[in-house]
Amino acid sequence: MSIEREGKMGARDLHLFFLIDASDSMSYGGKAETLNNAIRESIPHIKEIAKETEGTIKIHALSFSTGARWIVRNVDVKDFSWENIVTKGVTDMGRGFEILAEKLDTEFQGARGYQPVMILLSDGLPTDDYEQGLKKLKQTKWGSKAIRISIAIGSETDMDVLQDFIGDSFRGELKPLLAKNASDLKNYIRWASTTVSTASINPVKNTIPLPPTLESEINVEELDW
Amino acid sequence: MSDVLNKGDSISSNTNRYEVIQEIGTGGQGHVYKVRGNEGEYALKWYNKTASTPEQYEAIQMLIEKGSPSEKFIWPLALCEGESPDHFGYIMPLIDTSKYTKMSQYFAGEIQVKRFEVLIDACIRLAHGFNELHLSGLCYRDISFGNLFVNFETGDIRICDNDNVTFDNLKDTDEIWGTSGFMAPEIVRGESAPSSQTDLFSLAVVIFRMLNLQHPLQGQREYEIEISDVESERMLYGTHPVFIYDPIDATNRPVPGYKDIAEAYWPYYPEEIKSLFTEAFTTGLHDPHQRIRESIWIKALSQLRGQVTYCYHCEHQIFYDKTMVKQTSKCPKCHHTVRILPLRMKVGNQIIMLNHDSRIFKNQIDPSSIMDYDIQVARVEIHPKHPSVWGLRNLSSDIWTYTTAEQEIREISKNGVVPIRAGQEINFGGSIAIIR
Repeated sequence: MSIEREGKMGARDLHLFFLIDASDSMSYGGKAETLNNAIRESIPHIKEIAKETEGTIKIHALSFSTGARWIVRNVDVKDFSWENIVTKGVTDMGRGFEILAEKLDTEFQGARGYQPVMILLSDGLPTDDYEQGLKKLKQTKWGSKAIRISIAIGSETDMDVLQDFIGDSFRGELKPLLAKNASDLKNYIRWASTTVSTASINPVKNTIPLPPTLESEINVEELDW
Repeated sequence: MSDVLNKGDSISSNTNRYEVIQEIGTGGQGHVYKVRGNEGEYALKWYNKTASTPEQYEAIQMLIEKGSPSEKFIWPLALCEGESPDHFGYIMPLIDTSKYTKMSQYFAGEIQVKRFEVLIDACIRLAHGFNELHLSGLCYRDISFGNLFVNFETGDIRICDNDNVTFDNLKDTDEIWGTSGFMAPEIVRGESAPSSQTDLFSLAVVIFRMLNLQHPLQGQREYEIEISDVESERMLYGTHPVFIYDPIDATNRPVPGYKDIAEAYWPYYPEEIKSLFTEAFTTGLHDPHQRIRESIWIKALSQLRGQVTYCYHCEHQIFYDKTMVKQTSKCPKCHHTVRILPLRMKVGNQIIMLNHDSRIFKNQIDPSSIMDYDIQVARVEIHPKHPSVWGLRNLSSDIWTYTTAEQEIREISKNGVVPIRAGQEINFGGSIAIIR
């Protein structure tokens, strides 16, 4: 016996998108492996937030290399596990933005949610016309309202491209994060997927607390990138 | 030293050393760890560098000096420092998470509650806790489901994150404090700083949600928002808040089939508690001075607890209301008309149901002792040999009197039993009850 009665809570969900660079260069210096681990480590922390959220957190992930494809489609974080990304080919980032825009224009018509969180992870330079794809993404309702975060993996990355992705998201106050090593990357992915998600669910303070700082000397896991 | 502590790291207060065992929580200002000291395990809140300000340090120092208002608060015990001058934290008691659940997990559907008394008791204790805090000249600023813990077996509560607590005299409206959906409209609009008056608004939201699940301001207007953001929240909770059961403005009602959980609860509550909620979310929404005080909640909720009874068709808990006597009310669960009611007693203008398992508390029979909601003075018992004979056992040290069917006056002292029958009068000393 419980006091439960029938009715609908009508809670909204948070949609969290990972946009992942799976080009050939990601296979050097253990970058792909670190990324896989970093996402895996952030999952229990995202689950913790979902456990205290009235709706749920839905995970979406796409990878771009030569072309772009969905690797996780609308999975409740409670049931979410991460498959290693496969790296090869060039960096068709624009195509990644396009398939995201297509999804938002179709499957998200009339949906209710918090501001979606989009996390772009890349280690290099787009090889296609990323601006065209980005324009399409920002023209969608959900893309324009998204909190867009970008994380550069290593200092070879074109930071201007990552800044373009962020654009005026969160009033243009956000900057791309530069992960110089594995612990930075882990730290930033966790921050983007948890603290930023929380800021979307509870937007009152209208700020996103910055990622925690780590001592520069604890680079024990530092990889050669 | 960094923002993040690791297992085995050592942290010191003035008098003790603590070893970090594991991370148990994280938030915008820092992380919370389980730590071990000489006298056992504690929780440590460790501020990020950006939150480790002199103001925060002084605020914690003030709270430690003032001391906890009651055992309901997970209060700072000692300031702590590590090796770096850039960081600090504070030690507080650990919450027993095998017993206590964060309220947000209840609303995320992680917990099932068996009895309404648990929710009502939790609300009474929350109201009492914030009353104690406010009486000591402090205000909480961020009452929300993330900071409140409930034992969903007993209705006991714990109030945590007390580093939000400050003196009730803030003037600065620059800094918005609070959690979406719990903040008083004047804070959302940026017109007022948090205070005990704005705490009362948040408390009303918590109590409404505990009893009705749905948010009092989230009806049609919230449902129609596709992507919620700062602007839509400002409209919903700040500039155009409308109670879902506003008696005049019907623009924000629950949405049938989509966002209507309150419809399964609200219509079935007695008028008294509904009118209190209506006051809280109409006049109390706009005028901070018209908010429902904690003692009024405690009185009304204690009365509500006395009105819990059962549907004799499906055994679901329901609330007595005078309309039930006319046998037109339906059970919210099985939808059968409620035809059978147990006997009940009237004390002053309060009705107390005498169910087979009813427990009576001091504040229910003594209107002058509102805060004695936890002192049990009586319970209903079924005669072990004659199941049709019910009695009220005196668990207090007061002597009660009643008149027998033979017009003889009897005294009932501790552990004695008064038979329950219609027409019976019981004199509790300070008040008289009539059973009907």
